[in-house]
Amino acid sequence: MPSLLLSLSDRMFCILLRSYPAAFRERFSVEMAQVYRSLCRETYTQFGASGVLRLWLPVLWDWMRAAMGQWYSRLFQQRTSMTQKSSLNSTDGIRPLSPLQAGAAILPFLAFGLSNIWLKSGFNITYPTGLPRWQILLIHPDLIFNWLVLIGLGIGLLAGFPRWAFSYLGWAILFAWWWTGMGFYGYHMGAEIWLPFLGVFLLALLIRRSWQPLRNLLSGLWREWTILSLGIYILYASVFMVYDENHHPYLLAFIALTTMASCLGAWGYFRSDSPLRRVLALVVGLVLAAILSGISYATWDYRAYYGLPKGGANDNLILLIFIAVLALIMGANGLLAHWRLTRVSRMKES
Amino acid sequence: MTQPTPDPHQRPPISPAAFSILLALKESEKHGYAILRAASAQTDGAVKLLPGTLYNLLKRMLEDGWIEELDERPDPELDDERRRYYRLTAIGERVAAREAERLAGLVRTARQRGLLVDTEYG
Repeated sequence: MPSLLLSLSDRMFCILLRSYPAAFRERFSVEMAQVYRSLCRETYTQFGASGVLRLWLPVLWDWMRAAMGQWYSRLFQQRTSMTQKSSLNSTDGIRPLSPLQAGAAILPFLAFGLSNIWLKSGFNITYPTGLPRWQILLIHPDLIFNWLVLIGLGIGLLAGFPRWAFSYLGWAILFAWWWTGMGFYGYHMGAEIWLPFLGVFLLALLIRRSWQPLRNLLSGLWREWTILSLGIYILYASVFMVYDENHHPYLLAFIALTTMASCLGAWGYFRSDSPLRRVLALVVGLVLAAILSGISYATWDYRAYYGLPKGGANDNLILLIFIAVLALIMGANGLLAHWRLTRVSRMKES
Repeated sequence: MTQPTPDPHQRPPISPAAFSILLALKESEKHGYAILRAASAQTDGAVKLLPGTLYNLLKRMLEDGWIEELDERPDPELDDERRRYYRLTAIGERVAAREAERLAGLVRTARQRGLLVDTEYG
């Protein structure tokens, strides 16, 4: 019986060894099997069969980490780390923003949440018919938000486009794109909504009398590939914050919590110094926002509210798949940024 | 192609597992299982290496030139011929010494701040 247990254990370990990359396997698998065999026999002598069985949990964990590390190393031509610095910590020279700057960067998220709360709080604004367009543009909560974002973008451009300004740029583009197809009270926005956006650029460049802010913007985009994830994040965080056509009794609480979750993700992004951490923060923020959205729809029957036929059992599954796809895209973006960082640092070393 | 590390002083702190391997090999040349046993013994069981982590680290150390494989086994008569022995190189020794200095510095600071109390035996 003991010999059967030990030989079975040895065989299972040899099967695990097959999962390592070929080069590593060829060089070390015989030795590793031998070490495991010795360890197993010693454990058996000391603790019996239960000791061998208990050994398997850490062995499986160790195998999973080591095999993944070797494959990562093989695929990305990067060696596994011996230092206490994990790959998650690898910095790309982009320093985390100070709390004040990070606060400035998350301000549009907060402002968008607040404008939404304002819109859905029941303090309905009634616009008299025939109100001049410029007055509507100045009093509609969503558009007030747009002006705030544009002011932030303008300040960012005047300041030479520091990193926090990317948040304002993302929100400004999203908002202009969104409102291009929107209209209310008989006014259709159309492409005109882009004019203030372009005007801010023009004005800032005229005041600065230099292309530097624009150059900084472009070099920032090139330097920090995870800006793509930030763009995706702004788009979908706004979708989750809107709670369009949702009439949950606690709707305002849901909007407030989703706003906080979105701010949290953005805060983590601007306060992290490695591309992987930055993307991870965004994924966490998005997952939290999705969970809150899922809870709101699970606790409020929108089909009954709108008199729709029953069904939709897969709604949350669809949401789950959607978030998984987004997380994968953002994760791939983070890995690419990390790969680029290691490539650049290796080139510098050589 | 990986290059041996030219200057160990430029490295960030090494992991406890890597340091315990270097310590084990500083004592004498060892094969994999002996390294695993020594790492556990010298840390009172705090570092428990398993084959995956052990050979991941040995591979890195070989690539970086911290350790090297022995061409001959120290005692072929008493040993399994499939076993490979490893020993510390000069670079590896410098890395280990540097890490030991760093840890000693931390211990000194901890002592100064009253986190460690000197115990007198006997």
